[in-house]
Amino acid sequence: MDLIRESWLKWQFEDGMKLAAASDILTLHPGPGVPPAEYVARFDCPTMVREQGSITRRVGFDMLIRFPLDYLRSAPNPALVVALLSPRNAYHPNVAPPFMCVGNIAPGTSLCELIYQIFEIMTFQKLTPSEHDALNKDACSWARNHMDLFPLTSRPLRRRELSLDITEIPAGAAL
Amino acid sequence: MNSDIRGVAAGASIAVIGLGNIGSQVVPLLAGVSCVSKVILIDPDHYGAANLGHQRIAAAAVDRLKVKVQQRALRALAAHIAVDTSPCRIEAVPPARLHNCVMLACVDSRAARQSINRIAFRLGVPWIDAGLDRSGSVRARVYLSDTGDCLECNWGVRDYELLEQQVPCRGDTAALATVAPMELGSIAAGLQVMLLRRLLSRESAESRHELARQQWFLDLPSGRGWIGHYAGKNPHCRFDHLRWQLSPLPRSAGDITLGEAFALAGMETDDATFSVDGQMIVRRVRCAQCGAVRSVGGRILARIGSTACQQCSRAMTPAAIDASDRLRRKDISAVWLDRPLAAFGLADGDVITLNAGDATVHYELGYAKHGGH
Repeated sequence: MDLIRESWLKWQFEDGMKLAAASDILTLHPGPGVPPAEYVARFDCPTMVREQGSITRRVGFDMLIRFPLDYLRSAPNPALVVALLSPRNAYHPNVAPPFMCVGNIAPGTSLCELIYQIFEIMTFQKLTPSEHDALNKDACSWARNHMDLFPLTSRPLRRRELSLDITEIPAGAAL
Repeated sequence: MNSDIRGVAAGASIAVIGLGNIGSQVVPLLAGVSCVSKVILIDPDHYGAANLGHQRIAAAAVDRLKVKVQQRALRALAAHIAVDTSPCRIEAVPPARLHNCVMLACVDSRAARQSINRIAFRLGVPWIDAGLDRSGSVRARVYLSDTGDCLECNWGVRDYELLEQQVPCRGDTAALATVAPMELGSIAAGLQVMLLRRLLSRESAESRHELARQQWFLDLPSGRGWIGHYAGKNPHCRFDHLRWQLSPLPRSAGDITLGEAFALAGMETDDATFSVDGQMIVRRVRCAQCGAVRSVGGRILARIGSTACQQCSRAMTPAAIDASDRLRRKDISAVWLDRPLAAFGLADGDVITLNAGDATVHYELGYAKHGGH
């Protein structure tokens, strides 16, 4: 394997797993190979789906993130890098499963950047407001009329850390 | 003579990629380069009415394939030159057909330049880039694979960000045409052919390498011109610069199955892989608009053919779950192993790569039939 790609993939693996360990929302399943070139990312947070004609919230979605051999040099089609695996009835202006429009992906965009981008889109922190650019035009019009519902979660992807000084109080001590 | 130029100078084969402003003016100049014996013209497009006055064509050329128009023009000027045409993008041309060629890049897209650079370095052939912008600057440069630095050695993060992309919500976002005045194209074409003559006439490897370290630059509004000098290969370049050691395979793509190719390479283990450099192998394409799905049965991306959706006529594209850049033998079905390579969209002149552990073999398909190297 090309050394530059191999070291880049190792770096993605380390950073991705660190992010997953520091998140209550993200679970990252690396694909085969060392270092892996693909991941299934499971997000335990709400998104919107269309079920039997009604639009409802549903918790959880899975994404495939794959780094093609030439990914550090070219990404002519972002649809070949990210794909929505489930839910197949996801309802979002930027989504037409398995396609998700994450905008332009510069070659070499990191795994963590992609994960953040996907999280922000699926929880409606980011959406395409214009039908002209939307993958799902119905969802675009629906979303514009329901902006009060968004974002669907206020939980951050990476859990917030608090720096606390803890003083142990001996048993029986007066408070 | 070094390997880059071996076999080229005596009866030079030239591939002209892009037949717009620069390319349409390079073609007639090639008629005057005495050692040129063969020209391959590559461009997928037709001339349009908007090209009149910006490219060297007559009104009769409108709506005709660019390669056919220029083939006819070159034959009229130099009947002794054999002219082949490939009405497709450079990514779809079987690369070994460009062996022993000097490639002249007359394109206005970064992605196309990047593909030309990759193919030239894989084959170990020289390429000469020419470019211009509407503000009036013109540049040209020779690249030799054994000199070291490639197009991408001089690219930064911003250059990669500016590569053209096809995002699913906006369809095809092709590079915008430069629409530069024809006289600029004429100067760029002249510079490019001047560098070609110098490259072909230089006897020593050292003098050719010196030529390849220079970029010629003219800025017409200010009336200035200069020659930039490049230091050599960038150790942090994202391109691996690997050159193929090609194994000629006399069998045609239609006469050998994928399973036979693995067997021929002695790679029948589970971890063996099959790939085609720069290509994805696609199982299905989908319409992002109406959701239609069409099986393409494992063809390489550049040769899928028409991808227009039959329901809404939008271009269909594969998703990440529909394509792979290499096939692992253990994951390939018996049906696919029995398919001829032609069924994957491969043709004579294509190069397939088989890998198992540290061993890699690059087979040149139909070696005898497409002329070989």
